[in-house]
Amino acid sequence: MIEFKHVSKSYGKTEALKDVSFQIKPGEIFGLIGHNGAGKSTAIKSLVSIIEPNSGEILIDGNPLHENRMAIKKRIGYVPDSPDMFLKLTATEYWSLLASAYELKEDLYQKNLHYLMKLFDMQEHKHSTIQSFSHGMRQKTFVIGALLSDPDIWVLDEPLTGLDPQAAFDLKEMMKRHAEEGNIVLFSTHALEIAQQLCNHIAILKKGELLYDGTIEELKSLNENQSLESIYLKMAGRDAQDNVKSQGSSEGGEHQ
Amino acid sequence: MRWTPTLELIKVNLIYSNPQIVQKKRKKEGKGEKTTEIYKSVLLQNVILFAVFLFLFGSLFLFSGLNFTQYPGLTSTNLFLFVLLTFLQGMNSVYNLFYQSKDLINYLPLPFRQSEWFVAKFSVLMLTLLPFLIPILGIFLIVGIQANRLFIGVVLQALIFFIFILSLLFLLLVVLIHYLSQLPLFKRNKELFQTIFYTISSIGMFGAIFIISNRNTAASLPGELLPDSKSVPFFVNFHTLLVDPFDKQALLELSLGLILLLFLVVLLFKVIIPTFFNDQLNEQTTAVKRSAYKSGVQEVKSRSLEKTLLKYNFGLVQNATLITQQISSTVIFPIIFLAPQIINGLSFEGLPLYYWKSFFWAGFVFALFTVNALSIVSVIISLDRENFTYMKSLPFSMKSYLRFKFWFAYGLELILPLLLSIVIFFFTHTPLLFAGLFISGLLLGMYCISLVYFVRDYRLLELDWQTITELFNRGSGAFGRVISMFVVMIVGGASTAGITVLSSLTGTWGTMLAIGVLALPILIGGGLTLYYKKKFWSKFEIS
Repeated sequence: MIEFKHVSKSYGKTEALKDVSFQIKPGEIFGLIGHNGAGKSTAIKSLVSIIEPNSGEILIDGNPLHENRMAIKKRIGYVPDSPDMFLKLTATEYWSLLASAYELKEDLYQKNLHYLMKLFDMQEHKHSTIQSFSHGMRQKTFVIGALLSDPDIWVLDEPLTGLDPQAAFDLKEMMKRHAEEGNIVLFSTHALEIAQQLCNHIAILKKGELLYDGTIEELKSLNENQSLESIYLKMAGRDAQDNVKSQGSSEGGEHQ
Repeated sequence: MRWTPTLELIKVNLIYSNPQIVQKKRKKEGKGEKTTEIYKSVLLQNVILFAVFLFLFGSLFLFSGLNFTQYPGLTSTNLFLFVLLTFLQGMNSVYNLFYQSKDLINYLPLPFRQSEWFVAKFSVLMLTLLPFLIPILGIFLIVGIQANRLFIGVVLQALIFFIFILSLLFLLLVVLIHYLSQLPLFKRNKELFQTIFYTISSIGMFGAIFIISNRNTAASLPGELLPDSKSVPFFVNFHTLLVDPFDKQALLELSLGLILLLFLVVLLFKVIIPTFFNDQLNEQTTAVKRSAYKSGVQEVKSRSLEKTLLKYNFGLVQNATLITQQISSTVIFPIIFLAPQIINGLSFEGLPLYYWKSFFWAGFVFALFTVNALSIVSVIISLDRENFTYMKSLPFSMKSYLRFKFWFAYGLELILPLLLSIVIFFFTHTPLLFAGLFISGLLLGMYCISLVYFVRDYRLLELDWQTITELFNRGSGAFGRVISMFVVMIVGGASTAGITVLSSLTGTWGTMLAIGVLALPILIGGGLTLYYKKKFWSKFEIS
């Protein structure tokens, strides 16, 4: 289980996360939804140890992240929001680096790599540099890297951006299967239809504040006969009203 | 620390340490199944480089004809100078590698230990600094061999001493830069400190090489005893132990160095490394947030294209390191060479007219001296980063775009040398004709050298650089740069001196010299223009 407990993070005067708390249970596909600058990436980067929150705590199965970074990092497969790193390495060199970090046994590495390369149609490009790839191919490279060690927690920051329809479909199926096996998938997205399609638990963020934490069904039952898009825009869009937040917290079980 | 991940990290860092070789090798191999592990090429190239340096400096010392066993002072001074040279170069490298490197953020989410990341970075630091330090291995070997000791023993002892100095130097550098970077003053003035490191490195390197090469060329005939210089404390112990491996005093003094080494190891692994990632965490993320908004093209308003490009290019060159480099490479050496002469009353007033050739030629040579791989014109295209690719998509001619860039950089390159020349003309009472000819030579020389380096930038184009030093180190790197500076200095200086001596010639020889002095720069300029018109500018005709 992943727990965010009163996590806050600010960059100078800008508060990227304001006292955010939520829990993600095993078997859940958890979607972080919000506009640009809502705090989705900051939350994700805090979880994957890129950012140190100013206050609050992140726990994985009850273990504080800051005390068990190495062990927790090994349980997480992370796909960053912009696949523009390690550009001078070939895909194989990058995957080999990850395999060594996750201490993957050679035979398991080869087996997983073969499966993932085939799935994402990357065999022909394995010796090309990441720099030479299109956005989608870079994304595939990092998705393969994240899944290589078969970690139980997947943290995917906008994972479907740039993927071709087949790869996007395959990844979504893999996410579902991974959660069904009792693991956790956390991903951020702007695309509400994808959240609706995949998530059994969502959190809506706006300017660092958690506006909603619960299931899509619960959210829809609070706003009958409305599409998810109009509910979301009512909460987080231009005309969002503060009372929505209070409505959410008074009526829903886990809602804030 | 785990070995397999550390080795993988070292491989990755090696690949990043020399993108040029890697790119060439990859191109050669294509996408086939049989790709060699590319880091081996980088490693091999470096090993060859070290061997060449070891051989070159070893020969320099060996053929100086001195019996170094009798020169503890000279030996220890040379050791000290090479260590100092490496230290000065290392300050900038350590800061760039550990505290300015933008790749740390990519490693943070991965299960690598901080010590593993550190060791990998050390390997790159080693490759960067070894060429500067390797001559001391040569010195150790020569002293040991000249002491008529068992060869194997000498090699072993030389290697141990070398590794000892190398480790001590690296640790001192990392600890010093770490604690410097923690100072509030440093944090507030990062750019300034980076500039200071860079300037110290550049000037220090040149200065130390200058002193070392001067000291060794002044060697005497074999067998002739020169007075020895004063021994440098601590360093002299290496000499003593190479001559007499059991000298108690020297062993005792070196063991103090060993204690310092152990202390630094503990400090590094117990204090610095464990907090390093956390210290850098916030710095990195805030920096990323801030830099995301920095882009020249965003400021395009409805003004003329030239004005927009001018503003955009001015934005590109506003880099502290680049500007300092520009100033130091233009101003410092003329000041070092000319300031004492000017103070002593150097005056060109009333100089016979036939010296006009020297002024024209000197202007041309001065221009060649001020532009190198670190100049604005040598990086102006790469400074575009990904904007360069984007520019290609815009509806204007790439040829005009690049031409604009070239003349913009040429203009900037000219400012300082011109100002400096005017100041020197003023102090040396240079007649107007001579001043005009010097400036003509300067304009022409600057055009030639700028064109060469501008095309070189396109040839070695690097758009996803992390720090500007990556651009500076393209091609033959720091050592190549210093060597080319020396060549320009020696050839340029000798030819200027030759022309000055021969200036008074009259008759056919005098006319030939005059024609030659005028024609050669013009021919070089014309030739380069035609050559690059065909080989470079024509590539952009269609766009």
